[in-house]
Amino acid sequence: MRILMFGWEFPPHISGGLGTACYEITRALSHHGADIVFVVPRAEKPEEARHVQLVAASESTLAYSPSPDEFFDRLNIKPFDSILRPYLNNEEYQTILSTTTERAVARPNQQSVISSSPAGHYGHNLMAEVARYSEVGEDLAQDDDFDLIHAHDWMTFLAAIRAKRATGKPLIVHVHSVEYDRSGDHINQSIFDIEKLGMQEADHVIAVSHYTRNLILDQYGIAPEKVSVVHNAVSRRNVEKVYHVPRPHQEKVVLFLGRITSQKGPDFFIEAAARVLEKMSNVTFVMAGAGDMLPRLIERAGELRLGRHFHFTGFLNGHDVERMYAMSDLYVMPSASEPFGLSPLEAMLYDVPVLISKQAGVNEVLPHALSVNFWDVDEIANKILAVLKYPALSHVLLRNGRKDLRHIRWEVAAQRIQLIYNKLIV
Amino acid sequence: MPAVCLILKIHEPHRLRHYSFFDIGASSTYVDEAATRAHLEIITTQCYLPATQILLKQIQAHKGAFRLSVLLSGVTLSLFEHFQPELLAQFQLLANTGCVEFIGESYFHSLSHLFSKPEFRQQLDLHRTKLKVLFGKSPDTFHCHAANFNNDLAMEADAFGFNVMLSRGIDRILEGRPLNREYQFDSCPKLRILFENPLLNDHLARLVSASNPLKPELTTSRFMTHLIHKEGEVITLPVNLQPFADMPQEESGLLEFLKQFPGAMLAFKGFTFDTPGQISKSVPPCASMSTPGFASAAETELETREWMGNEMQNDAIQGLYLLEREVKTHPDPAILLSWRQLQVSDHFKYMDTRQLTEDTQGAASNPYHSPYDAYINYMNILTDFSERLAVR
Repeated sequence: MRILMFGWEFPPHISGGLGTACYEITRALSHHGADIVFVVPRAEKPEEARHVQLVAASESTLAYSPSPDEFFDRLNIKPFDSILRPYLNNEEYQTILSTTTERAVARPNQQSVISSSPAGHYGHNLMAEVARYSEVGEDLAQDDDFDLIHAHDWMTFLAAIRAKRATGKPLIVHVHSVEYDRSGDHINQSIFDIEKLGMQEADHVIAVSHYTRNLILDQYGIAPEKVSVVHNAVSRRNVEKVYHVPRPHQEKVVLFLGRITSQKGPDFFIEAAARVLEKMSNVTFVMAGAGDMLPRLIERAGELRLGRHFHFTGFLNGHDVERMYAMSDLYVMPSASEPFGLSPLEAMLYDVPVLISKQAGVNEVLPHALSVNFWDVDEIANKILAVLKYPALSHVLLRNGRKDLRHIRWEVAAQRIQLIYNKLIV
Repeated sequence: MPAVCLILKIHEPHRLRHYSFFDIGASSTYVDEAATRAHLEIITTQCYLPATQILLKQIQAHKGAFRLSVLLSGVTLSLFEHFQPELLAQFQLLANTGCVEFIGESYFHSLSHLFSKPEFRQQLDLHRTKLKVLFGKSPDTFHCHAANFNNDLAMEADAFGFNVMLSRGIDRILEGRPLNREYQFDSCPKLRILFENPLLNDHLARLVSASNPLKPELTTSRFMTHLIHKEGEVITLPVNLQPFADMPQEESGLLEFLKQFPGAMLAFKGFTFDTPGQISKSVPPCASMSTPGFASAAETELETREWMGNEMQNDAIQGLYLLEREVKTHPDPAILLSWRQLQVSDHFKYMDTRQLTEDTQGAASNPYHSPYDAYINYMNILTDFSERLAVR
């Protein structure tokens, strides 16, 4: 089976969960025998992506070879001259620019600097790139022989639709998040429209959680029988080292790790921290990550007089992320809206119990996790205190959580996707 | 010809209120009276009131040929007394027919037998007194919640004046002997033992379980075909009513069953209804069994795993019973009552994490979102309670 897959990012150049998910899905699918051509706006020679053929849309005029080795040799592709990323707004973009040192990131030239749109979250140039990307969809589709088209998130939907119209092949759109998750009530109408069009034109829609599926049915009016859930997973390979981090005596660490933006609910974390500190002093709260809300929250921590009990680490890279998980006694994810939410699973791989928002899709695969309404600061604080005060709670959560993790595998996700493929092709 | 002992088991706990860590030291109200009252209202109207009305009619219609036993915990009785006096009156009418036997157990439906003999005895005594006050008669029959027959318990029951003890019929005790008989053990010859036959309870539970979407018509005849082939002198049929109480009556089929079962049963020649207390007086024991060996640690663990199967449950229950001495020397009687209310076994059952992933039936009418929430709430309360104990 040959799949033409449209993505927006692929390791090592990723900004978040989407790139990781695409990597793991293609990897597991290829084990099932699928032959995948993966199209990204820009690509560099990936180190461990031999299971797919990576095609850069920016070089789509190149006729690529079906032989992987030859393909990689020829993959001397100029990346887009920007680091535009689908889920960043202007401030976050600037933060990343200033904090990223290891990543191979090109400085934007004058034309590609994001300008803040009134809607707040997306620059015009992103739309321009999406449009440019869509033009290659048709070309690529006609150049090659494949059985179906699989597109990940809205940035790729226009390209995929054009590919479908040009070839008549079945289209699957894979929804990792929707505009409603990212922007709450202030949605960008153009993006919403693209999402809706993609789902309407698709022969089948894959949602990463029932939470997302419900949004697709309610907000986008898509027919229920057309939408399946395939949960994301986590790979043990992600845990590269076992960290034995010496801890300050009796000092507990509670961690928030993610983009510091309203979708992730960092403000609820900080308010809950203040409540916890009313009752307990030997605890340190860590907020790791960067984002548009950071300055405001630093100010808030000052107002609340959290002092040495609250740390902002800024953006952390891979190894520091792992170290941070390993140091923590509890991971908190108070997201206001989270289609899936991979990070609690990562925390659990480091034997850290998790407290997650009920508004997160990952809840559906984690019966053995603490959950809470993200806005309920007192209840977040209550549960943090319970984990820190009653050790039996962590023990039972971790013991059962390890069993949960065994079932959350990308192979399972790939099997379900394969079943959907099979139905569409027949 | 076998006598059938139908035993209705009814237990409804009070509900604990949402008790946050921030309530510790600030509030000593643990019970959510409004939620308890609201839940009782629903189950009474939906199940218990119509069920007892049907049973009363059946007793009257069969003129003494239909008899049954009722196992009602002390907490349940006191809740009915406070919030559902009409229902309590209905049980008193049943008692007045002379065809209903009330069975004794620990007042708080607790696991006190595992932690404190003195406390266990006091709870048996409280329950006996309650039955005597409400229904005019002390119980003859003893049932120990969350335990099978063991020598220790039998001695307790005997010393307490019980004539009969009910137990689940597990292999370790029966050793291949038939279930549907009345037994006695060498170690306490005055006490008769009846082993429960799960047939009816399983039959009813299967019909209402969510995993059975077809839900075949609950017919008495279907059950009767199973029953009439059973041999023996006594078939002890417990029915746990708690799972039925929570669902609309037209769904459970329980009421329809209660209407039909007595008549259908009596139509079979030789079948009679009786109660354990009567059986112990009229039927001589078929065999005297040698005292079974002690239950192994693994067996005891299996018997109690619903309430003490994980670390959270053990932490909570052990933490509670550790306070006994301080509680019992405390001058405030409200302290003792709170401590006992916290012993109600349902609180620990709500913390059973197997209900989340395994195909086990969780506690009926569980008010908690998850077993972890149940544990957190309980531990916050227990922390406050311990602190109250410490300051006198």
